[in-house]
Amino acid sequence: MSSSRKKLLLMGRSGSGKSSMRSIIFSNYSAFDTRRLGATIDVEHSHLRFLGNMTLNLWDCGGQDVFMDNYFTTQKDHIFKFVQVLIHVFDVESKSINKDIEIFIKALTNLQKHSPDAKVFVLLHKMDLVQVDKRDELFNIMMDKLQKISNPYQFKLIGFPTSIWNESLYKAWSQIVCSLIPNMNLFNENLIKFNSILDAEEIILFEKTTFLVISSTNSIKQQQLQNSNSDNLDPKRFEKISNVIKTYKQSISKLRTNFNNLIIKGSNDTQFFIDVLTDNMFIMIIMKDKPQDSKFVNNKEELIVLENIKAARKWFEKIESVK
Amino acid sequence: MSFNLPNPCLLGLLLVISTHNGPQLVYKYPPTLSDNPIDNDLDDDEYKVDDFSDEENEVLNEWDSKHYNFYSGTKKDLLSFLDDQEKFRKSKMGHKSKKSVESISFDDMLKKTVSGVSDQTNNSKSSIQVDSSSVFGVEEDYLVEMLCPPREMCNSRFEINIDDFIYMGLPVHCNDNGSWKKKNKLVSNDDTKLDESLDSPKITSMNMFHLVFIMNPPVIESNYRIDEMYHYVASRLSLVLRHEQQKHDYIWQQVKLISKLKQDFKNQSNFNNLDSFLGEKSSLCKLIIDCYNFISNSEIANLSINNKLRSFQIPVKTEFHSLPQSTVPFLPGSHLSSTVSLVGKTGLINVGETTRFGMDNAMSMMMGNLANQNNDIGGMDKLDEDDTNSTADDIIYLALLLLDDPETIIKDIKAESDSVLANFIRMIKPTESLIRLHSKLQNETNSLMLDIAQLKSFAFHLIYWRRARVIHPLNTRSIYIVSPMAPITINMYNDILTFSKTFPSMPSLAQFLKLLSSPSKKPRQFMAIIPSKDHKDLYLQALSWLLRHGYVTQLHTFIWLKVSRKVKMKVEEDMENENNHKKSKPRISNIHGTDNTSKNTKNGNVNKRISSNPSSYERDIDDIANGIKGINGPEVILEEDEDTIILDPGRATTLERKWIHKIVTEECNLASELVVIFYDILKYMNGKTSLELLLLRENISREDFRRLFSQIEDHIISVRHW
Amino acid sequence: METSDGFTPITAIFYAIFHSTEGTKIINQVPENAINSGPKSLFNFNTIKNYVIPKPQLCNKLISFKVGKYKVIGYPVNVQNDSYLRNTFKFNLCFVFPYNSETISYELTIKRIGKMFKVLEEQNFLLSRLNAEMFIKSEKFQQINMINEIPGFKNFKQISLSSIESLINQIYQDLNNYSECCIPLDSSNSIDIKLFPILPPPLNIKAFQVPILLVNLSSLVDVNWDPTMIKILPYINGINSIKKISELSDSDYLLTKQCIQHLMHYKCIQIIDIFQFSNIYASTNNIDNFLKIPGLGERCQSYVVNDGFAAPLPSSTPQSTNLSQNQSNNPSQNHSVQNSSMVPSSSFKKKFSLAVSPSNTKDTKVIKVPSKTLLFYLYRSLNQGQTIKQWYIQHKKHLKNIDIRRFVNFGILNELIYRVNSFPILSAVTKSIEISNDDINKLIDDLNLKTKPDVNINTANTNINIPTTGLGIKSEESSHIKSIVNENSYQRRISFSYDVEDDTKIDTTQSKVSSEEMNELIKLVKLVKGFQNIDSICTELSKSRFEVEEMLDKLGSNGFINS
Repeated sequence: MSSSRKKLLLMGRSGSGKSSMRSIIFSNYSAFDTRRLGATIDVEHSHLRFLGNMTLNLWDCGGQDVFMDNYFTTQKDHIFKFVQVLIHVFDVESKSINKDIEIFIKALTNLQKHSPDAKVFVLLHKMDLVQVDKRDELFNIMMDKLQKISNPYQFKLIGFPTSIWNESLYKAWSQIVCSLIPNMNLFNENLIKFNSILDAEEIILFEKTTFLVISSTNSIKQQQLQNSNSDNLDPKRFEKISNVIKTYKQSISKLRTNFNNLIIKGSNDTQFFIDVLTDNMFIMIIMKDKPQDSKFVNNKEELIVLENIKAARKWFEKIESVK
Repeated sequence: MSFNLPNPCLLGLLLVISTHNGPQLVYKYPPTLSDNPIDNDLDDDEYKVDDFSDEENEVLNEWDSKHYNFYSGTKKDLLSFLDDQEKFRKSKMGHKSKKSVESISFDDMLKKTVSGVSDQTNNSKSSIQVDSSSVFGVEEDYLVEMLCPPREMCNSRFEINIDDFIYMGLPVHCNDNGSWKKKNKLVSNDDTKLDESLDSPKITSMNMFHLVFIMNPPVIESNYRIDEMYHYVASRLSLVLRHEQQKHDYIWQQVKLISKLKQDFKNQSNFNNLDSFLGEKSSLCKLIIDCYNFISNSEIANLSINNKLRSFQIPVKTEFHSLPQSTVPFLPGSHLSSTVSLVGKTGLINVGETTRFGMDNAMSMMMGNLANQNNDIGGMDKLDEDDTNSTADDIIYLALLLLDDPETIIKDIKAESDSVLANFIRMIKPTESLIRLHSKLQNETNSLMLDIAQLKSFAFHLIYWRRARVIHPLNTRSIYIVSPMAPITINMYNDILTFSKTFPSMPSLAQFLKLLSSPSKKPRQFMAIIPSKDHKDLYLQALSWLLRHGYVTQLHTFIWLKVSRKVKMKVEEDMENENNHKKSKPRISNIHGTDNTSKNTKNGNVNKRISSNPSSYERDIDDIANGIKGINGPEVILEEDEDTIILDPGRATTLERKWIHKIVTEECNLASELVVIFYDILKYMNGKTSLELLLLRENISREDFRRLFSQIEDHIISVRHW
Repeated sequence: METSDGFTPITAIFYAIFHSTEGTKIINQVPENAINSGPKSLFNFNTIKNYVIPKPQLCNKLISFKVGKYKVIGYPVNVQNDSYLRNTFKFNLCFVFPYNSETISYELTIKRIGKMFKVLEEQNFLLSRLNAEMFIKSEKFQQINMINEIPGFKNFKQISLSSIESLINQIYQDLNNYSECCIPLDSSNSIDIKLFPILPPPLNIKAFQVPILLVNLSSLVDVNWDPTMIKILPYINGINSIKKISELSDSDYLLTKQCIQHLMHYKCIQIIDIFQFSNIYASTNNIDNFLKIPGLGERCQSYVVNDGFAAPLPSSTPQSTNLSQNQSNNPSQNHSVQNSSMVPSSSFKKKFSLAVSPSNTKDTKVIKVPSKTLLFYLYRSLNQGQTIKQWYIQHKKHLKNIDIRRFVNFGILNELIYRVNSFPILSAVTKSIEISNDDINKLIDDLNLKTKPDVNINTANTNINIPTTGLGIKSEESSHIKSIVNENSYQRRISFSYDVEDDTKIDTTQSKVSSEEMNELIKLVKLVKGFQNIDSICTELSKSRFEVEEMLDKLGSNGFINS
């Protein structure tokens, strides 16, 4: 009931891959597992605690025609009222684009009527089936088209090309989720502060269960000064990490132990710290050693960093508890 | 069939709502709805006898005369059964307080269990509550979705069986305008205006709520038990809740409160059990808990709904107008009297089943309630309207027999000790008809003013809520017999003790009953067994005790007019003299031609009177000839009926009227004033209305009455039964 | 409204599936489009689709629900297999009935069919293959068609379910017309349904009650019947009590009782009571049915009329009223009936028959059938105050051609009259309860005083064989009795038997009598304390009422409650 309940509609024709992505992001399915999923009957509700007081209330709406018809008729106020986010999934391979679009329009119409200020995300899904070189092109064409369609309804679409077989899914979803976090800027500010103390290469915040990226120093920097990322780091690194860590977490959970923290020493004198920040967040810190530093100092530094994280904890907890 | 035994088979209650965050379970009670129904039954029994182990509890049912097992199955041979009974009583003596051992009237049985219930709730405090997320083998979330039906299925009875469990209720869905009122509901205009003004602002996120009753009735009575629960509790309660939601947004406020409390519970220490905590803090949870505890023990549930007291019950079947077949169990202490059919029609009392398979009675009862339940909110509102119901008018000539001590009743029904109702209750005497009470009230200058309508509605109230039983005013001149339903084998053992405690100066219960049934040519008036005038009151009190506990019932007299052959002949001659041209006709056919054949054609249903007439004559012969076939074919002669019994003088044929006239004028030439009386009471000579009631209703002096009957005696055939 | 066999007819049957793109839909239904989008549809399918095909968690359970004026019963099945599009095949074969109709008889069957189809689908895609393109991944077609070529299937002639349409049609027709059906599905499977009525569980009936047949079982009996049943059958004649039946057929009492209860369960018998001239009967409030119900009078006339040869004692002339049709009737058994029927004081019996015999004019073959008015008059003249005997004497002149036992039975079975039961009471017992010190031993002690002479001898021999520290005889005695009292029936027998043997040692026949008598008395006290009616007591002690009354007198002041 508390105001921090966020209602997300997950829509799209049957077989477009809604349930699959849901179970990967929120139920720790591996992409492979999703093959076994059956069709969704009517609406699958899932309530996910997210960052302390926030609850994601995800409505995975089965895409079969009979269900769709109901969503737009008898159930419309039930479905479309109080919606924060509509996530509409398109199967790029779909045989009947027109039908898909028709549905999309209906959705927008109802959304505008019942929750006009909802955000609309469009996922062009199953991108892996498209040839690599064609992907961007296809994506842009479709997005333009869809944006045109949605203009009359005053919705600004945010689109992502996604596939369950690579990290693109994580990228899309962390964007979606972040768009829901009210005090995002607070996180960012604190993160910057923290960084200024630590002076790390990069600091990233992950949500605990989904391991979606919440914030990272570099992305903030990018926002502030619009230079598209100067250093030649892999732009998909966050999502990759999410992916990696998540699988890692699963594998250790098989060992009946819980992931707590992790320190990796890179070959190029880089150190990675991953540690619990709060009940709902992990923090990842990348440090590059100054060459002159000796190993001895180095060991110390590890402890210092971990100490710092502990110290930072209460700040971030405060932000979370803010309603 | 065990329809006469209360059996709510209520396993639990769920409150589910549907909001824009999807369906959700707000509250469930009891906290653990186990996958295994058997366990649950055992729990129920544990309420009754705490310190018995489980398998003993199973056995226990067999000793509980309000439980079906008591009557079913194949018991061992009698003597060993009695030995066990002996042992059981002894052990019980050891275990339990006197009170619960003497489970005499149902009220007492119920009291026994209520104590149990409170224990149980206390116990559950200490018990660490396991909130299993599955209800009888179904994951809670999915179950809840099923229990939030689409709008088309709302605002009407909802029922779904999943395997052996039945989920039933009245889901209430709000209208588009956010109002919760049934659209077609009739209400005075000003009322509606007021409501709209109230409603329009508060359009909540909640669009449906549903109080679900979980039951597992025995298959054979499934429909019946569910109907009972729906009509008496589920629908009525839901309607009250809808009303409160409509007026005060009650449910939604409570829902928010509850979810908040569930949070708070974690960081508080006074309560270590969530349910007792919620029960304490949330009125809605409280009423759900109470509702479960009382209804599942077949008790009256007095629920305070948003600080308004409402009562709900599944009426127990303790009133019978005819004797149940030997194969039909009934609650010991039930009351047998034809007056029941009088009140039975009003749906005030739940008339008992008398046949093993028949359910017509039950159904008609249901229909009656369907009518009631339409725009009625909460059991009793309806009752006040009932007294306009003509069928029950006669009640004012009858008396009330309180089933408990007045002060106790006043306390139980939470009436103000000096309220009109309370004083009325104190005044009630089994020897005085309501009308008498009323006139008394009028005379007593100082006392409370109470018009007859109020009086009646009070009476109905007491009857409906198991506080009183309607009887003919006790009278030493009336005849009382030991009721064929008397619970001698079942209750006598305990009652002997209670009786002797209540009436130390009386002969023992056994002795008293013996007196009432001592052989004589005919059953005798009650005064016959009263030793002296001074004993009268005491004996009457004792008598009322017996009535209360179903040991005795009153014999009533029902009469018909009997027309002798002689009379018929005379009438016939007269007729012949009148119209000679019919002389040719053979006389015999003339008689019979006129009466039955004509009647059969007129209203072909039942032949109103037994009298042999040509048409039926042959048929009879055949029937009987067939009947006696096998005896080497003797000739069969049908004895002629001398007499004709007039079944319904109210709707007598011309011929019958002629006969009656003949009887009145010539046969026993009555004095004119008696003739008047005769015709006044003629319509009652149909074997339906008892003379006793007749005397109470038509104010005819016993004197005239006796005179009249002494004269028409030979033309009357009477039967005596309850 | 009901089929010939009294089952609610099926309103409709439909077969619904989950289509991977269209969703839940009806594939076949009977009657043709009973459920459609039109106004004449039974209900709106769209409303209930999620109940017809629920989420997997709720599948494979019997689910029935109310919609509008109807009740839909089905067993939604969810089969997982990667040969299916979307990995699952969901279907439900639903039956529609009017709401609030009795459907238990169907429910179990529906569950069974559902489970069977589930298995058949899992084994060889029985249902999904019918519209394979709709449910099965094209690449899997081949492999599925393979299934039936599994070795072993080869040599069978292939029958396979051709259309669900016709299947449900047949189920619908057969069940509604014959309330059973047997439809082959394929070489090895078929749908066999027979509906059975579900009756309330049998009630515990008492040893003294008398079963009277409503059906001619002797014609139905065959070798497969329960032996006890076959043994007892000849003795069920509306006269023998259940105890008696078990004795006559010398079969175990409890088994007999169980058999009888089953007969009652299946409405083959009704229960009446032992006919005795000491019985009391009185009219019920239904007595006017005699006047109102057409034909009842006639039936009564033909049932009670008596051919004037046999004395109006319990005679079993063939009875062809619909009450107790074709009761088995052979003279020899009649005979056994005569002496078995527990009419207490046989002396009275004789006197009585004598009284009647003159009225039997042997030569005429004329039977005067009593008039209905007379019969009614006779019924209403029964009352709580007098026994049949007294009543008879009072109305002798009318009773010439009336078989009194049948007269009474007819009244009872039609609920015109009821039996007034007599419960013996002992003031001793009552007192003991009143002072809530009803230890039965104490009672015994009290009653010992009255049977002292025998008792002393009895104690004498108990002294011999029960080794005890030499206490006073009295206590000794009572202890002996306690030992008898506190046993349950089984041990009681033992304790009794050793009495016998030590009696043989010291053969004082008198003491034997007394100790037996003592046991009898103890039993009696228990029975009285258990507030049993006289019939029950007579049966339990297999003594006549007269004897029991004598025993009661031994136990001090007593009386009867007539209820």
